[in-house]
Formats: sequence, C-alpha cells, structure tokens
Amino acid sequence: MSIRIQVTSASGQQQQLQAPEGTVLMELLRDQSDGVEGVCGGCAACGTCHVHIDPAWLAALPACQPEESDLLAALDVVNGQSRLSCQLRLEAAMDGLALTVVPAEC
Amino acid sequence: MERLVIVGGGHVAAALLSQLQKQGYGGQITLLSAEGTLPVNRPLLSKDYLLGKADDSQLTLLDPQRLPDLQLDIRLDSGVCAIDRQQRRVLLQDGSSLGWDRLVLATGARLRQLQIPGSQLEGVCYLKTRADAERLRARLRPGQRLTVIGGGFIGLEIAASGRQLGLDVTLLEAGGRLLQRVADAAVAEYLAGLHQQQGVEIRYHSKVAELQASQVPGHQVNQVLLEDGSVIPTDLVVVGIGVEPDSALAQAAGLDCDNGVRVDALCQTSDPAIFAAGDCANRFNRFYQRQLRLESVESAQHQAAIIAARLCQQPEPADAPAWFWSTQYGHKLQMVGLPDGCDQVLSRQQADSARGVSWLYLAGNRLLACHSLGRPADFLQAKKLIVNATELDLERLSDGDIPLNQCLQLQPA
Repeated sequence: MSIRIQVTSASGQQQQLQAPEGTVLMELLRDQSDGVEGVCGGCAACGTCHVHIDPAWLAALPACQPEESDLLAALDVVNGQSRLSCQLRLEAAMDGLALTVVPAEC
Repeated sequence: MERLVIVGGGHVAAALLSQLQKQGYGGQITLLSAEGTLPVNRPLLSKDYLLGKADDSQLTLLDPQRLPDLQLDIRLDSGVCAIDRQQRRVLLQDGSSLGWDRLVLATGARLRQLQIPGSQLEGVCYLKTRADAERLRARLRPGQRLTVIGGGFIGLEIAASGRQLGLDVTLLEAGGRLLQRVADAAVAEYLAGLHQQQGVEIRYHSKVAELQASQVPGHQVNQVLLEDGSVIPTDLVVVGIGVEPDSALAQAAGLDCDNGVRVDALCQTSDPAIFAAGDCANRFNRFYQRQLRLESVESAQHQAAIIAARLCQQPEPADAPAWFWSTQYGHKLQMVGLPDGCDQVLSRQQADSARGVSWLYLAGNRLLACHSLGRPADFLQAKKLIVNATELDLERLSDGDIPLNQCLQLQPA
C-alpha cells in the first residue's frame, strides 16, 4: 500500500508525498528539492536527515533505538519531536504522517 | 540542448543526478557506467551487505523512478575507452561513440592489486563492486579460515564481518600498526584491542611473499607464505591494500593529472568543458586551501553538488572539513577533519563508563580533527569547532563529562 506523508520544508513550503510501505523515510525526503541531505545513507552516522514530527503523530512511530537517541542528543535544534528520518520505515499506521524538515547543522 | 555525459556509476553519479533533478536541469544526460548495476551504496558492501542485513532498496543509491524530470539515459556495462576532446566525443568499449558538451569524470579509484606469486588463485578476493561483494558473501561460511591482507578501514571492516559470520580471522598488516595512513596510534591501538577481543588474530610486520594452493584439486588458495617464512593456513584471502585514483582516461586525453585528475575548487579540469569529482579528483579545497584528493562518500557528494550547481547556474555549496565513518562490530567510528599538522592528540571519555571515546587532534589550542567512537555528540560539535577554528581550553577538553562545545577558551575579561 502507498503511504502518504505531509512534508513542510525548511523554508515553509508544504507538499504531500507518497511512497510504498517499507520505504525508508530519509530516502524519500532526500529526493525532494528542499529535503534532507542524508549523507551517510542511513546508518545514523551524520545527523543530516533530522525532522520534527507533528506531535499528533509521535505515538504512531516506533521508539528511538540508542544510536538514534545518541545522535539526536548531539544536535542543536533537537526537541521532543525530533527523529532521524533514516531510522523510520513507512508503514500503514503512518498514513497521513505530518513532519517538518530541519536543515542540516553543518 | 546541452548534452551532459557522466563517466562512472558510483556515489558521484548518484548524487549528481539527484541534485540535477532537484535543481531542474534541462539538458540531455547520459550516464556511462562500467559496472553492471545501478550505483550502489558502497559503504554497506563491506558491512551490512556481507552480514545479510542490507536490502535492495538500501543498497541502491539511485532509483531512476525518483528522477522523473530528467532526460536521462543510463547505460550499464558501458566502459569508456577514450575521450576525444577536439570532437567532444567519448569512445565506448563496444566501438560506439557519444558526443558531449559537458563531461563529468567520476571514474573513482582502482583497487591496488597484490603483485606476488599466487595472487590469481581461486579464493583470493577484493571488494569494490556489488559483484565483488556477492562473490565474497558466498564464500564467507562459518568455520572457514579468512585471511585479510591490509589493516586499513576496508580490511578491518571485512575482518569484523568475517568474525560476526563465524569465520576464523587473521589480519595481516605490513606495518607496525593499523590505520597508519589515517589515524593516530592511540586510535589504532584501541581498534586493534576491539578486534582482538572479538577473536581476530592481528599480525604486524607481516609482508606476504606468496599465496599457495593445495596440490589437488588445484587452484584454490590454501596457505599464505610470509616473507619471514611463516605459513598461515587459510580458506579465503581478502586483499584490502588501498586504491589508486583512476585517471587513465583523463591522462590519455591530456588533462592535467597529479595524484588523480587535477581540478580547481569548482571541480573543473584543465579543459573548462570537463569536470572531475570523487575518488579520482585531486581538487583545490577552499577550506584547507590546498589540493586534496579525498576518498569518501561525503567528498563525492559535496563535489557532485558543486558540479550540479555550476550546471544549473546556482551558487555552489561552501567547503567544510572532510568527514568519514566506519562501523565495526556495531561500533561506529566517526571522523571529522584532517589530522595533518597536529602537535597533540588528547583522548576523552566519560569517567564512570566504558561508553565510547573520542580522540582530538590539536594544533596549539585549535582542533584539527576528531575521531570518535560511540560519542556522536563529540563528532558533531567537533565539526563546528573545526569550521570556526575555535580556541579551546585543553584542560576542560580532556574531561569527557563536559560537552565539547563547553570547552571554549574564555576571553580574558
């Protein structure tokens, strides 16, 4: 099934994207003109695929594993909505997910 | 319409196409790759892929379906044998030729080959392409004896994968320590300890003289003979002794080459219509203010972004400190900056735990580089401290409980 997500870019533009279940969120966002960088390709090594999840959707996501929390803790604009999009795979429960891209810090 | 030809199907090509799609490039693009698969996420090949943990979508760097706005022709198994600069054509190995207005050389690097008797035997492997990784994976069977030649990152990662898959692993290093070229002795020693704990036998000062085969049935390697006369029985040999920039095409075409294809800060070769990027390019780095050839994903992506910006008349991204990473036994080593010119290496870790360690390479009280194992905060903050050439308080720096960005030298009041 195709999962729809509502993305607000770092510059405030909104768009709806969709991709098959199982897609890594970072890979989808990386292809957007105002998307994430995702330099390390998804191994939670770089922190360049940071997104803020709409609070209503936080509970729908699988919990952070330690390597994700460690890296998030090191970022500057981190808050309770922060996730690394490389650690999230689209699944049925995420249909409609809303998030905002956070620009890479350096 | 502008005809853009990209030679080489690795990280540069994938990043360049993605950037061109994002920036709305309107030219006709042809990607010529000598490999038989779409660009792959190479760092995964020595780790997750060998361990059976990477699926196809993670492995594939480039999905043409995600490039709907490009006029793109991807030709796999299409090696280029020459560049004709006068006629602005590339000649392909199948005898055909193709015209271009702009050419990007992203030919990467060639694996350095072992040049000793027996190096052609069955069971002597290298790792660069997906096909190499498939062959190697089929041979990594529990209980087999794996000999890794070379104590650089690729050798260490393959040794780790081999152990995790239940092989007996011996690692041979010609020098007196691991990672001679890229890391401080303290880092090398720590990683060596990690491998030894996992059961890898590391042998230093071990120069390989010959690879030998069993008598019958013939060509399968079964022992490694060292120069000192010792013999190591083995079932499989993997060679990871470094790479050389692949600048043969550029050289033959008369472009300036010197440790790779020489390019300016904007990735332009000595021919203004030809760019080069990635492992094959020796580029003037504005952050370091010198020519540098880097072998890293981040550098390949950055240079691809520079070329895309030029092709689309956009401002190019600024240079920043180089960075790299490696994973072994699930431990992530993150590296930022270049240690050249450092006069001191300090290590820091938390007092009360074995949770990770960072090594800081300093020149006076400024940070040049940081190698960080399991301390990602240090890595990210080090990046900023290096960019800003921030003056640091060395005493606080040594205390791993104090965040790195709170170790600034305070100005006298």
